Amino acid sequence: MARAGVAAAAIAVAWAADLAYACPSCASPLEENRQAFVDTTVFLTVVPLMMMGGFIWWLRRRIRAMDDRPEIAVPENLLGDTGPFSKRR
Amino acid sequence: MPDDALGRPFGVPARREPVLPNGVLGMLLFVATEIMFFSGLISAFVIGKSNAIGGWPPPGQPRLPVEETALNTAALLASGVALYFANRAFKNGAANTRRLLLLAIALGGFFVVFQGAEWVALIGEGLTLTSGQMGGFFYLLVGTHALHVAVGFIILLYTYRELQHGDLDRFTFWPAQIFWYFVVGVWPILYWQVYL
Repeated sequence: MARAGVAAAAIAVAWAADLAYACPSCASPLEENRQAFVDTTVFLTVVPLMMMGGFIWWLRRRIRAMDDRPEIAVPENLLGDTGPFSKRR
Repeated sequence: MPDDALGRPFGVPARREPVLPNGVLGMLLFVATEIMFFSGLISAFVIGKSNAIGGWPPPGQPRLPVEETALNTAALLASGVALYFANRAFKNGAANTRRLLLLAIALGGFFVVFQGAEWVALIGEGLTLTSGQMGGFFYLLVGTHALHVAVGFIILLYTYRELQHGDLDRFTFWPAQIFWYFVVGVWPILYWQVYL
């Protein structure tokens, strides 16, 4: 019951954003300005999602392509043990 | 020493090439933050432009050199194409890698010099950082990009030097290319928003 009340209050507040001038573009008299706010909000939301999605897609493709490649045997003396977590350090 | 089923000698560990070299991953993360940075700047500019009373560009402000900058845009895009072919030549071990990389660097240098000349002319016409909203946005957006082009130019010069010494490997060349493609790719968007 309490949850329903909170949800109803949240919806009511969101509905009344125009009245409260709680949205950044509501006060602007220019239609072009309101549209610019909407466009840039969509743009800034979509760009990071597209970047992350694109990266995951590309990485998956690359991993699949690399799975087909044979392992390369590298002699220990060439491989070395020189990384930051080297046992010899 | 007898070999195992994979044909490698016993006692020799098998290693795969990393899916993503550290340098490439680092550069991709950096470029992702740069994309968000430029997205923020472009968004601020779009809102500022839409808020301008009296239209855009504001009355009394000098007009930007659209045609001349179109030529400069073509030079930067050509630089990206030259770098792409330089990479292909590098992968195939072709002799023209050096020439193509040098062409990419020269075109990038042309872009920076041309833009510097454009700025001198615009400042002469009265468009400065403090002359108004247009000047402020212009130098912020185009200036930030120019700074990135200058840094990319230095990175490409470094890769050229490595290539000349025979020390260039693809783990160095790859991140340099990612950065340059970003610099080339973001410019047409800036040109479209700021100049057109």
